[in-house]
Amino acid sequence: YTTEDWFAGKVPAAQPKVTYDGAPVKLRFSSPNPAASLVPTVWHRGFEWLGKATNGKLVIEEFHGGTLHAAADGWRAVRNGVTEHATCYTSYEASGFPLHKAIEVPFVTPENPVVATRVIQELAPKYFTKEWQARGVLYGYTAVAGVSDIMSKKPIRKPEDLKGLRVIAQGFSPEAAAALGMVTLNIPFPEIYTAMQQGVADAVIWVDPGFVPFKIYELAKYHTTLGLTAQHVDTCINRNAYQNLPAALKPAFAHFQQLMGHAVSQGIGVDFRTKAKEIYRQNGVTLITLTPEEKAAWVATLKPVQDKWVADQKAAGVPADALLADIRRLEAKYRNATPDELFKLTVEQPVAGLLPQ
Amino acid sequence: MHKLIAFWEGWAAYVLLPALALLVTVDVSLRYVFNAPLAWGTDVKELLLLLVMTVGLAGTSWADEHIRVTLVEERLSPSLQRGFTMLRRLLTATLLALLAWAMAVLALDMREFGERAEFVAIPFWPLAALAATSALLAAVVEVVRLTQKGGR
Amino acid sequence: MEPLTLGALVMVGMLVLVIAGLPVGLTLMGAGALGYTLLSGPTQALTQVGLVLWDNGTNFVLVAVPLFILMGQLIFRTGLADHLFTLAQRLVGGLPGGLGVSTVMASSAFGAVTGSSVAAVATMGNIAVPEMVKRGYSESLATGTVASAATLAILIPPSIPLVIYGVWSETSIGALFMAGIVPGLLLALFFAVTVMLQRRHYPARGATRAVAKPSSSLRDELHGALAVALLFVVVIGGIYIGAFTPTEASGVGVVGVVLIAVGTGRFQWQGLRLALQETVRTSASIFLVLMGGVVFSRFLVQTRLTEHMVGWVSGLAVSPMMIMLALVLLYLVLGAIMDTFGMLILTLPLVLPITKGLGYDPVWTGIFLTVLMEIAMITPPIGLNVFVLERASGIPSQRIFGGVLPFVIAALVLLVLLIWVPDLALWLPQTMQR
Ligand code: NA
Ligand code: NA
Repeated sequence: YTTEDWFAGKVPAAQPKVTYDGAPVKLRFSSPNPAASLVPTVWHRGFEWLGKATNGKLVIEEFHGGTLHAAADGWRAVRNGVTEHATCYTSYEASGFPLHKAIEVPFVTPENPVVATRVIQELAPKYFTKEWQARGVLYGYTAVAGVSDIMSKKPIRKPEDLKGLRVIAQGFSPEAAAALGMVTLNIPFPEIYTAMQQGVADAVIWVDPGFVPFKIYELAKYHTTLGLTAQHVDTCINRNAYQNLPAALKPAFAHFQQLMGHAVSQGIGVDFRTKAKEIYRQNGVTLITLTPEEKAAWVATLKPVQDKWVADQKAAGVPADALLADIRRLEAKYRNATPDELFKLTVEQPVAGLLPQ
Repeated sequence: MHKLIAFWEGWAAYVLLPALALLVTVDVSLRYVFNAPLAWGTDVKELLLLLVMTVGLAGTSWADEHIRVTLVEERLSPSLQRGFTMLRRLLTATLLALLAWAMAVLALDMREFGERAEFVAIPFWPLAALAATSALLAAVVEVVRLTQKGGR
Repeated sequence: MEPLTLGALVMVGMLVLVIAGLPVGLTLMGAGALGYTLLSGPTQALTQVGLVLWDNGTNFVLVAVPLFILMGQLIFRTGLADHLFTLAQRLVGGLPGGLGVSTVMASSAFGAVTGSSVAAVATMGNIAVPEMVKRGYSESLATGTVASAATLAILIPPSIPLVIYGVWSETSIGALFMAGIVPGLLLALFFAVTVMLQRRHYPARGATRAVAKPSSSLRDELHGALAVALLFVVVIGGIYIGAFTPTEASGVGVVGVVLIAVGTGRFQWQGLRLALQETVRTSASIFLVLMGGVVFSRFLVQTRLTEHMVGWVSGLAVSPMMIMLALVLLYLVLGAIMDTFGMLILTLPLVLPITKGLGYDPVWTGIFLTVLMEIAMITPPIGLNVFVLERASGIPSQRIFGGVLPFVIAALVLLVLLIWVPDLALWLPQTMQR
C-alpha cells in the first residue's frame, strides 16, 4: 500500500483503535509555509486522515503562512503554548543541536530523502530527542524534503566551477564555502529572485521545493544534482498538550507523527521532485547529473570539512563519529528500499521511544 | 530625568546607529574589494537594528513624538485637553509597561534555553532585556511627564 | 464570546482609541494583546507580543529603513535639500506644479528601486516636504504627493509583495514584475496629473523665485545639488543594475551624504547630532506601528474574521463586475484597519479562487491586489505611509489624510481601468513570453 491509500483511509494497519469517547480534543498546528503551498497540502491531508481515523476526537486546526509565529520562532511558540505543535527548525538554531546539525554537514545525509527520513527517526531516540527536550519541547519528526542541489547561470560540474561565484545558500557552513572557494550570500527568501535577476548572485544552493515556488528556473538555466546537505522539516510538540491528551488518544497521535514524517518526505522529496524535473525541462533548464567520478571530486573537496566537524564535536564531547557510523550503517541497510516499502515499515514497525508513553 | 534619557538615547543615536551604517558600508566594500563579506555581518546588523529600533522609545516618549492622531485633542478646550493628555499619558505608560513585561518574559525564556546568534556567539537574552529596559524607561517617562504641568 | 464577535468588538475599540489620539502602534499592540488574552490567555498574549517584537526588530529586510531615514535627515540638516530643490525649481519651475511633478518622479523612482515605501516616505518626507512648503505649496498637497508617490514602491519592480504573491499563487515572478511596469508608470502619470490639477494648492508660475537665498552663490548651490543628485543616481542606479542590494545602498547613501557635506563645507557636528537623534526617534515610532500591526493581525487570524468577510462577498449572487467591485470595497475596508502584509496573507487563499473563477489571470490578480495594498497604505484611520510622513514632516496625520484623498481617487481610477482593460497588466508579460 502507498501513502495515497493511507490518506484515503485504506490502510487498516495504520488505523488506530480509538476507545476514547469524551469531548473532541482540538490542537493547533502552525507553520511558516503558505497554506496552498507544497508541504501544507500534504499536512492537510494527513490531518484530515487523523480526524477521520479518530472518529473526530482529535482535530487539528491549521495556521499556515506564519500567521501565528515566524519560521525561526517555532521552539519559543510551542514551549510557551502559542501553538500546540509546529515546525521547529534546527537550521535557525545556532546552539543546542550539535548532533541534529550533522545532517547539514556536506554529504552526511543519505541522498534518498525517504531513506534519510527513516534513518533519522531510528536514530532520534539515541541522539536527537534529548536536544528537543533541552529546548523545552517534545520531538515530533524530521522529514527530509531533499538533499540540496545547485541552480546556476553557468554550468557547474566540478568544484572548481564554483570558485569565486556569488552563491545564495541559507545557513551554509563558512568552512564548506571556503573549501569550495565560493562567496556565500545570505539573502532572505523573498529577495532571492530579485538578487538573481539583478545579478547580485550567480547561483543558489537549495532544493526543488525552494527552486520551484521561488521560480529560480526563470533566471538560472543550469541545475546540477549535488546532494550536498539535507533540507529538512522538523516539528516539535508542546509538553503539556501531549501529556494532557486522553490516554486512549496518545498512541494514535504518537504514531501519526511518524506516518506524517514519511508522507512529507515522500510527497516532497520523491513525488514533487519528479514534477520539478519536468518543470525544469519545460523551462529550458539543462539538468546536469554527475558521473560517479565527478561526484567523488566533490566529496573529496569537502571531506576535510566533514572531518574537521567530527573532530570539533568530539573535542566538545559530542559523539559525532558514532552518529556518522550509525547513519552509514542504516543507509546501507535501507539503500535499496522503495518509498512504499519504507512506508510499510513505518506503518507496521514504527520507531519506539520517540515520545513518552 | 532628562539627563538619563539623553544618555540612554545617546547610545543608540551616536554609537549604535553609526555602527550600523558603517558596518553595512564596510561589508559591501569588503564584498567588492576582497569578494568576502563578513560571515557574522548579517547577525550583527540584525541585532543592531533591534537596538536602534527600541532604545529610542524613551526619547520618543520624552519628546512626545509617538505616531498618533491629534484630530480630537486639537478640538478640545484647554482644560479638557489637560485632563485628556493626562489620561493618554497614563494609558500609553500602561501599554509601554506591557511591552516591557513581554520583553522581560522573552529575555528570561531566551536565557533559560541559551539562545544565541548564528555565526557569532552573542547570547540573545541581554538584548531582549535591553529592549525591555527601554520600554520600561519609556513608561516611566510617560508617568513623569504626566506629573509635569498636566502632561505637556 | 464567539471569536468573531470578539474580533469585531476589539477592532471597534482599537479604532476608537486610535482616533482619540493614543499612540497608533501601542494601541494596535494593546488591542491585539487584549483580544489574544480573551481568546487564549494572558501567557500566550505576552509571548506573542515578545515574539513579534523580536522577529520584526531583527528582520534583516528592515535594516534599510533607519539608514534611509538617516540619509534623508542628513540631506535635510546639511541644507543640501534646499539646494537640490532650488536646482529643480530652475529646471522645471516653468511648468504648472513642476516642483510637485518632479517630487512625484523622485519619490516613485526612489520607492521603486528600494522596494520599500516606508523608506521612501521617510527619506523624501525630510527632503521634499519642507522645501515644497517653503516654496508655496500647501502642506496637504506636499505631503499627499510624497505619501502617495512612495506607494509605487510595491507596484514598480522589484517588489517584495509581488514576490510573495508569486510564490503563493504559483505564478511567474518575472511575469508579475513585467505586469507591474505599465500600471506602475500609468499610476505615476496619474499622480503627476493629480498634482497639476490642484491649482489652488501651489504657487502660480514665477511667484516663488523670491525664496532663493541671496547669501549663497549660484555655483555653490549647483555643486551641492549636483552632488546629491549624483548620489541619488548612484543609489537608485546601483540597485537597478545590481551593483548592490537596497540594504547595502542605504549604507552607501548615508556615507555618501556625509562625504558630500564634508566636501562642500556644509558638515556640522550639531547637524549630524540632530539627524542621528531624530532618526532614532523616528525609527522607534515607525517600528511600534509596524509591530503593533502584526500583533493585531495575529489576533485577527485566530478569530477567522477575514474568512467570513471574503466568504460573504463570494456568496453574493450578482454579476462578475459587481463581485469585483465588492472585492475592491472589501479591501478598502480591510486596508483601512490592517497592515498591508497581514491583509495579503489572510485573504489571498480565499480571494484567488474567486478571481480565477471569474476568468481573471492570476498575474492580473497580483497587480490588482498590489494597487489595493498601495491604497491601504494611505487610507485612514490606519495608514502606515501617512503616519511615517507625520513623523518625518511634523504635519498632523489628519491633514495628510486629507491631502492624500485626490491621489486615492487617482488610484481607484487606475483600478477601474484595470478591471475594464486587463491587458494593461497582461500585455507586457505576454509579449515577453513569446
Ligand atoms: Na519597487
Ligand atoms: Na489604510
